[in-house]
This record gives sequence, structure tokens and C-alpha cells, in this order.
Amino acid sequence: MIIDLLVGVLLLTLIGFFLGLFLSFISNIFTIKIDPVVEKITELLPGVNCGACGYPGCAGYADALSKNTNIEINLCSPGGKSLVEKLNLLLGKNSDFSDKIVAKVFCMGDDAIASKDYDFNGEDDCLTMSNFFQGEKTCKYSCEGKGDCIKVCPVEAIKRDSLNRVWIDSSICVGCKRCVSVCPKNIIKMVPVNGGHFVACSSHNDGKTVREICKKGCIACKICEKITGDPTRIVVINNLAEIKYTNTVDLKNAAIKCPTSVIIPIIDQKVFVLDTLNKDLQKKV
Amino acid sequence: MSGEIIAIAIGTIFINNFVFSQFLGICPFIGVSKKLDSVLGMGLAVIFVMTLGSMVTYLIYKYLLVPFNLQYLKIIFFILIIASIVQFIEIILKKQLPFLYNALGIYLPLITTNCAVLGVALLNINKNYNFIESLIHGFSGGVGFLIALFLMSTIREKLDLATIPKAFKGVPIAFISAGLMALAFLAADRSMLDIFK
Repeated sequence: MIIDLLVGVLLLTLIGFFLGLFLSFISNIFTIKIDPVVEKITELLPGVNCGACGYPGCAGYADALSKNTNIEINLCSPGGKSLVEKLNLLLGKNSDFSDKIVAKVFCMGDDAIASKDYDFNGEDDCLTMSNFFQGEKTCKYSCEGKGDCIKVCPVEAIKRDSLNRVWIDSSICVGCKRCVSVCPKNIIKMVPVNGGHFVACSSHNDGKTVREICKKGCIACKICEKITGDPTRIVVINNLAEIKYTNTVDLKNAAIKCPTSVIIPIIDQKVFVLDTLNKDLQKKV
Repeated sequence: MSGEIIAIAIGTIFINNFVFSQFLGICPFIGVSKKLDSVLGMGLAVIFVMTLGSMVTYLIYKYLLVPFNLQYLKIIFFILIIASIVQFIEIILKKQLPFLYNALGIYLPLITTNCAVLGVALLNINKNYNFIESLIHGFSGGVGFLIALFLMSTIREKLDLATIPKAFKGVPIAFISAGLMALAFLAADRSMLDIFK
């Protein structure tokens, strides 16, 4: 009886041993040589596979970098400045990294303060909704609030609050521009993270119309223009204030004086959003 | 003899199809059938593993397990052998066809625990097949699996575009369609084999 058991154990061990030998033999024949440079670059890259560099994922970019020395090494926006410095060391190059850019939703019209033409009751999808009379809000430049951009964001930087306001956290955003291309209203734009402020409105309607349909839109009053006094920084074109990022004149005063407060700081948008959320909720009640 | 072999082949592909009649190997069936592109690679890998697996397991059973009276150990032996064959394929694919390797992803190692592959080896023993018959049984089992994968993936590519209730989107509707296809496969029965008599 015990002999039978031992034979079984022995046979299984033997077969396992020979199969293992066979496999190690085969894997020796079919070894794959991996370029050590590719491995090093892949380690350095952030690994979010956002596609901002234009290559299929971080592995694709690392592969391309190792094969072709003419490819720019500053294409990775999530990696930022520190990554370019490391890649300079590794590949013996001398590249600079331009300022980090982040995406911003250029609209703050929420359910409480923007008037609606109708109530959309269909699929939870911006593109679908914008096919019906360009969305439910009266302002046709407005954010749909259905969050197509949230679905494509690789790092979950885009938030939506209880009033269906969609906003992007600059500290998390990696600047891959996926949300820019998916937005049916084209109201997500890229701004430099150190640019100070941005105008959270895309409406080219005249001031009177904006006042009627949305409490948080640019009414083209030109107060910001007068306070700043610098036409190369902020200027009202076609009924909409536009901030230029060629210089960094402080827009703090303009932001405070703005009657509809649509000039919003880029970095601390979270504080701003939470602050105004409570006010808007009170208005709704 | 040849009639019997054809009967086994037809019977395994259509009448006792591993997916639709015996409900084996459902995990890779649902997992891989999302896109038509990876179906052929997966199907060929399964055919290869099933054919080689049923050959080797038959030989091991007949010439090692039976003489030593170790039939009760057949499951663990078979799993060991199938796992090695899958590893073998994985090493070769990784070197020779890296695109297919990436497309199959986790499902290639999962063939190891694919119950259809173990099922083929155990059914060979249960049905008292000889060497040629188990080879045919393994090969046609793989072909049946490939056909099931192919049919399912064409349907699922269409299902992605159809308007389905939210609760049924994705895998649930795939299971329901698989069930309906299993019903359709009930039409294949013994009468199919009458032509060969």
C-alpha cells in the first residue's frame, strides 16, 4: 500500500522534473534580448499611458526614443521637467521643457444659475445631448455637464459636483489633451499652469443676453480690461474676455472686480469651486 | 475505421460542441470573443494545446499510469502536462509572434486552467478512445471551440452597436446570446451522422 503511494509521488516528481528541464531548455533557445536603454526609459516614464506624446503608450514612446535619436524627449507632459532632466542625463541630450499645460473647462454654468430650454432625459452622454438643439441649456456655448471628458481622462483629474459643474484639478491633470478633442462644444482648452487666471466662459452672446440666461457668464463689461490696463494680457474680443499667456501680469484685482466672477485662478480652482458651490446651492433653494 | 473517425470529428465539433453543448471553457469564450482579431490566434492556440494535450495525456495514461495502477492520479498528471504545453507555446509565441502574444494577454496562460483542455483529456479516457481517436477528438474539440469563438465574436461586434438596456450591456448580453446559440446547436443531433453510415 505504502509502496503504491510512493511510486505515485516519485512518478509525479520525475515527470515534473523532466518537464521543467524541457521548458528551461526551450526558453534558453527562445530568449528575447531586450535593449537595456528601453528598460531604463520605460522605468523613468510615468506609465499613465495617456498618449500625449503621440505614441501608443509609454512603452511605444520608450521604444521610439531608443531607436530614433531625432525624436524630441520633451513630448511627455505628465513627466514634466524632472523627466526631461533625467532623460537628458540618460541619452546625452540637451532639451528644455516648456511650462506644464493643463486643461480647463471654460464654463461654470451649473444647474442652479443657467437657464434651460428643455429637460434632457436621454442617454448620459454629451455628444447625444448636443445633437438635440445643442444641449439643454439656453446658452449654446455651455458645458453639457454629462461628463464625456470624465470618461476619457486617464488620471481622473476631472470632477463633477452636485450641480453638474465640470471642472479640472490642475494638480492632477497631466495635459494629455484627450478631453479637448472629445468635448462636443469645444470649450475645454489648454492653459499654462503658471498662467495665473482663466476666463470660465465661452459665450460670444452679447452682455444683455448673457445676463438673462446665465448668472455666471462674461457680459463683456470690460472692467477687467480697465483695471489691468494691459491689452497684451486681457482684452475683450467679440463679447468675451480673453486672457493671453505671453506675460504674467497679476489679474487678482480684475478677478475680484469682475461682476459675474468668471475670472478664476488656475491653480486653486478647487477652493473656488467649493466656495461658490455653497452659494449656488443656497440660490437654488 | 474512417467512418468512426469522421463520426468523432463531426460529433465533437457540432453535436457535443465543447462550448455550446458541454459548457466547458466558458471563461476564454466570453473573455476573448470581444474582437474578431484575437479570435483566430486564441482558437489556433487552443487547437494546438488540445491536440498535443490529448496525445501526450493518452500516452502518459496508457504507458505510465495504467501499469503502475495510478489511474486515481490522472487529473493532477494531466494538469501538469497541459500547463507545461501552455508554457511551451507561450515561450515560442513571445519570441516569434509578439503581436499575437500581446493580443491574447492573460487568456493564453489561462488556457492552463481551461476546463475544455482538461475535459478533452479526461473524456478520452472515459470514452476508451485509442491513440488516433483521442488525437481526432482533441483536434476537433479545438476546431469546435474556434467555431464557437468565431460565431460569438461576430455577434458581439454587432452587439456593441445595438441599443440594449444598460443592465444588459457587455457580458450579460453575451451570456444570453451564448445561451440562444446553445439552443440553436441543439438542432445538431445524432441524425447528422446518418449520412456516414
